Amino acid sequence: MTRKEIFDHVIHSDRVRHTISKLVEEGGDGKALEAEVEDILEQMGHTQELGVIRQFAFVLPKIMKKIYGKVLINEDGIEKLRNTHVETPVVLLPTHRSYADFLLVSYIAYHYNLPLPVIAAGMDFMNMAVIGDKLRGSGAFYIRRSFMDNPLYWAVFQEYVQTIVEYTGAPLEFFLEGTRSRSGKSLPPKIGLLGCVSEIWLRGRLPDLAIIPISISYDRTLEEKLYAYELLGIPKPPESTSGLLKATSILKESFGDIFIHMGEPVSLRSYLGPRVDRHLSASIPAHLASVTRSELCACEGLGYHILRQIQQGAVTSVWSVVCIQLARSLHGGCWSLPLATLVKEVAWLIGILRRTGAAVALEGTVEEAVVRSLSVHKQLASLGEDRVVYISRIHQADSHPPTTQKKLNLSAATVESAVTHLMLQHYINQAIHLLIRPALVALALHSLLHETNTPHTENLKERFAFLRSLFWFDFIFEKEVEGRDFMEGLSVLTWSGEVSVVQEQVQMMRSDSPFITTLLHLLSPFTLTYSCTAITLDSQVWEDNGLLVTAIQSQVERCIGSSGLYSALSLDSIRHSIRAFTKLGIVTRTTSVDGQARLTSDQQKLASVVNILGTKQDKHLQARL
Amino acid sequence: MASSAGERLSVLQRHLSCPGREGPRRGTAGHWQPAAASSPSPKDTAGAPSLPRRRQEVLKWNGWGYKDSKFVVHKEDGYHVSFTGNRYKIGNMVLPHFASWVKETLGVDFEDCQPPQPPPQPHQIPQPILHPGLLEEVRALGLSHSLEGEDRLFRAHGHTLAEIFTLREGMFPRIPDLVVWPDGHKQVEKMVELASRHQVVLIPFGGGTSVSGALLCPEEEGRMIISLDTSQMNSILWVDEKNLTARIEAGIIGQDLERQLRARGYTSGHEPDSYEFSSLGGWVATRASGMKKNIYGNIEDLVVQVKVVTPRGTVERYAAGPRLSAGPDIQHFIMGSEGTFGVVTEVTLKIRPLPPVVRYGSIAFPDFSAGVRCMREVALQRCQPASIRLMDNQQFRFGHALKPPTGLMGLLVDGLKKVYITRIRGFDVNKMCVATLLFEGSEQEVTAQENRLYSIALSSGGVPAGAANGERGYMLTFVIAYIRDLGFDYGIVAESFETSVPWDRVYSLCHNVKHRITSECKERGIRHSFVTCRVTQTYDAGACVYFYFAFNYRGLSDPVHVYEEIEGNARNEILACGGSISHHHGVGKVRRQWMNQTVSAPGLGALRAVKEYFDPENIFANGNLL
Repeated sequence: MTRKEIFDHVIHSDRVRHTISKLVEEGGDGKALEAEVEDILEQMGHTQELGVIRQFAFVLPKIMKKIYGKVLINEDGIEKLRNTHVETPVVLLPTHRSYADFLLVSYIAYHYNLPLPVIAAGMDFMNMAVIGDKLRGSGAFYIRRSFMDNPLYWAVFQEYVQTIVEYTGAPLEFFLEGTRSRSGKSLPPKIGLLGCVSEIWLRGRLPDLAIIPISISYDRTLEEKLYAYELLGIPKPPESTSGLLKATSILKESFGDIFIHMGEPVSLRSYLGPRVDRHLSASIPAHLASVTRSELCACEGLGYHILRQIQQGAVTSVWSVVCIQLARSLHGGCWSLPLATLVKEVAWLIGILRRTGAAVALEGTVEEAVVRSLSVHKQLASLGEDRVVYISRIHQADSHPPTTQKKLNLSAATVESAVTHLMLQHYINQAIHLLIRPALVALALHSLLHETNTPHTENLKERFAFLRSLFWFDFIFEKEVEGRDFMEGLSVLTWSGEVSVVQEQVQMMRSDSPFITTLLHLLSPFTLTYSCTAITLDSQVWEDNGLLVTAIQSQVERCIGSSGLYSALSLDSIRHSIRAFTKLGIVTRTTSVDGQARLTSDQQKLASVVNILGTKQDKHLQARL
Repeated sequence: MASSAGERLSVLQRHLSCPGREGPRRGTAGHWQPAAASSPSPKDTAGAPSLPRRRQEVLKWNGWGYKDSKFVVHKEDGYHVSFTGNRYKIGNMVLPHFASWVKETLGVDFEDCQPPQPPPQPHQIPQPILHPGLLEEVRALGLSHSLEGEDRLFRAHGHTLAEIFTLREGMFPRIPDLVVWPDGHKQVEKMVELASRHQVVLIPFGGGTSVSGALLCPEEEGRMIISLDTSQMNSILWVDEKNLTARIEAGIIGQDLERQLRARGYTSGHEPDSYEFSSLGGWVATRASGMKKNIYGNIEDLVVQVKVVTPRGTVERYAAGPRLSAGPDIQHFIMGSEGTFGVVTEVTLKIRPLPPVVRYGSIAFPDFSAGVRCMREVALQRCQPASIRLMDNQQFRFGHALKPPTGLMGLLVDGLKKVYITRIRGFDVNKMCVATLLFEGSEQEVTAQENRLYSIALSSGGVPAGAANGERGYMLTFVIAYIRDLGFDYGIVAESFETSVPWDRVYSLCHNVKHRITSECKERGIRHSFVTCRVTQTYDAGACVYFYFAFNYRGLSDPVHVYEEIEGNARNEILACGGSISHHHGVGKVRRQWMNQTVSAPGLGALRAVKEYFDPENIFANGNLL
């Protein structure tokens, strides 16, 4: 279908015409609305011009060869994708960690002679000179960030997306996480586009859709430094071509390898089929039967399912494991450690990860791999002549790139350490999904042991379930599989010999287990953030605006003390914690007469969160030590 | 007595009509129609039933239709398939393209033939459960009856895949214990009273062509089960030529009804694909639909009055007026009740004078979506001929595989047609599809209809493709039912199912269901499958879609179960795509699971309450519908 044909299809669709006639009834001007539809389409619409695609195909490899080592991809996944294309329309859902994701999938499609995807992009790209149009020419279409309150835009957007999937034969590509994940973890899925795509199947317009989870893992993320600043609250500069040109300095650096894993196609029908009742809306004209609440809920479940598939397909770099150990050293106040110690600890942890089924990108010996990753990341941690690894303070006062007028919430000293911490955390987070289940079981056990010596598995499970829903937005879990997650976490702990379960009684085998210590350590920045959120919420009734976030961040800063847990300052986790507290009913949002949303909290529940997260006891412990 | 009235009428008829003048010649009324009615036989009077009381004398005991009509395979430098008997137009002809079609489409290996088990020995048939005292009363009443295994087995099933498979390879766990043949309404009333008094089960049996498991005896039924065969109540009681209605006993089968009405210059116009064997009572009990409903209407449009014997008494609506406003129509409780309330004994049906002209036609379309657009337009303009059916590409090619050999001229004409459609019009043989048409009316009416229809066809991208294609299409409808029995021998199971769906979803429903079936087959490791559909009826608000589905089950341990799973999922897909539980096959036992989502829980509850009133002790315990 040509651009014009797609536009015509959208303009003449029942949904768009219906929306216009409704707006006209409400006093809108029909002609103006029709013109608006065309404007929206002009702004949104993609083209796929072979010329532009060839330009990219020419330039991209040159840039990529310059900055990246190898691009490794599972070719069986490519073949599966090729076969799937014959069967059903395809939706590609890659991870979003970097701008580099943008054309990577298209480039691979081009390379393997697969249909080129049509990519949903945020409006900010469109305004970039030249690049905006080039991206459009290579198949990107632009959507506004928020348009739920604009029924006409919403109708045009839905029809546009659905027309692409139903009629063009081109795969649709979008980022399930909505935005680049600054923290390196998976972000909770945005279900707007996924729901819109699912609607095609929900309303019986296509027999099935195949969703391909694509995991893109970078040895080193292009935007690593920018992300760290952003997470601290120093905003990103708006997307601009000049900004991109400035970023060309990165061309002189090395960013290691890229691993791409094309996941097993997920059939929309197989996943949603048992979870929805399509016949209920099957007798309403399709354009009037909007997606129901329970259908959206099922789509959300699908989103989490896909994210888990993406996580399971991701390749873990040795550097992520290195960062876990470097962070431990930093928390202990050491900015350097001997290579030998590091290698030993990394090797130990890799062993455990591999036993849990993780794919670790390890070539040669662990030492070689560690040294290689240090050379890629030499700005962050470098290997001295003396075989000692030195961690760098990335932030030099008044040298950080984006200068802003906004007063910084944090002290200069804090920022100085925090940037390095958050950069390490970015890589730790890329592997954290591998250990989150045993880590939460360990934390649950740890907190229960304060109450009783041999907790019952049911209590442990209950505590785990609470923690799992508390950290729901920070770590991705699948809906409906709480029991499976618990068993998975517990079994990792039992086979590693740290915990035993006898007659439903759970026992720690030794108090100073290195594995459990590592797991608790992994969680420590998060528990600090969530505790501080609880403490801050407890202090007053908050209006629902940015002030709360800043206040929590300040609280975290005050609490860090000697713990060195600077990554707890991450705004990402702070926002997730507020969301989780709201979802769990610990905090309730009320809108007062003046239209101001207020957050009132249940103090008892807040206290129990702090108690379970155990920061009080830890501080107590630290004081005694 | 009713039957004697029928006989008197037919004798009268014979006196009035000279031999050979039984209404219009079949040649003009339709070659495709089963020739049984016109085949000369000593008993060939308009009034005599085509099927004897001992049905097994003429009909297959373990397959579809007449014993003498079937597909057979011969081996002589390669394999050939032909159709035996002279009842149908393709009878006694070798079908030169068919063997290679089945090999290609369904992976049939003609070396690998598994014939069915021989007819069961008396000891293999379940022993009857007899209720003491009842048999004596049946005898005393002079009710014709039988305890013979063959008779009981013959009435233990319909024609779903599972039932025929059981006949070929196993045995039903439960079959009727006694067969009775009442000769009219009075005897039915006595039988129902007797059953109520003795607490035994009655399962009404008409033509035995059910495809919903409706005739199966519930396995857990501990009471004696009596099959009430209505086939001996088969007379036309009277014809009212002023009002164009006829009072008919419910056991009459379609072909006999048509032949008898035709002899008087009338037709009921009700022609379901099973009409050679299915009965009037069965049509009422399942809300049947006939091919020519566009002119004559479906059974609910044709029925003026209906008489039903329930354990609570005989239900009747004492008004023969064309319409009445008297609360919910009691007759609509009966239509579609599937033998759960009682036995239909007599029906007043509308009749019409025979049409002077009957003509076939066909239209070729470049693809299915163009065909659906044309069907929709025809329905929009309400200019449907007696029948209009759209076959998809698979069915179009299947039809070609069943083409009998043609002479040189035929070959030439066919060749020219093919060149015109594929070369000049540019249709892709692997995409194109065909609509078949049947026109009825006066010469003028038919010509006007043809003109209007072909102009709609042209504007939707279609091309008129001749009468022969159309005629063959309708002939296939009758013959296609015989193919399944051949398939069984070579590891193929096949079945059909249907639905009704609003116009805007016709195309996507067809596409989605075919896709769903194909992927369900793939998931189960089925390598060869065939699924095809046709839009067989059009209405103002939607259409009826009919699916055929077959697969090669070599290598699967339980093909019937696999089939049922796939059909179940196909039905779920149908409902999700806006289709219905059934357009005319009914619910029976195989589609009961979807009743709740079809009529809502309170709706279903109301139907149960009606059943509870008519039949408080569940005498009509066939377990259908509810």
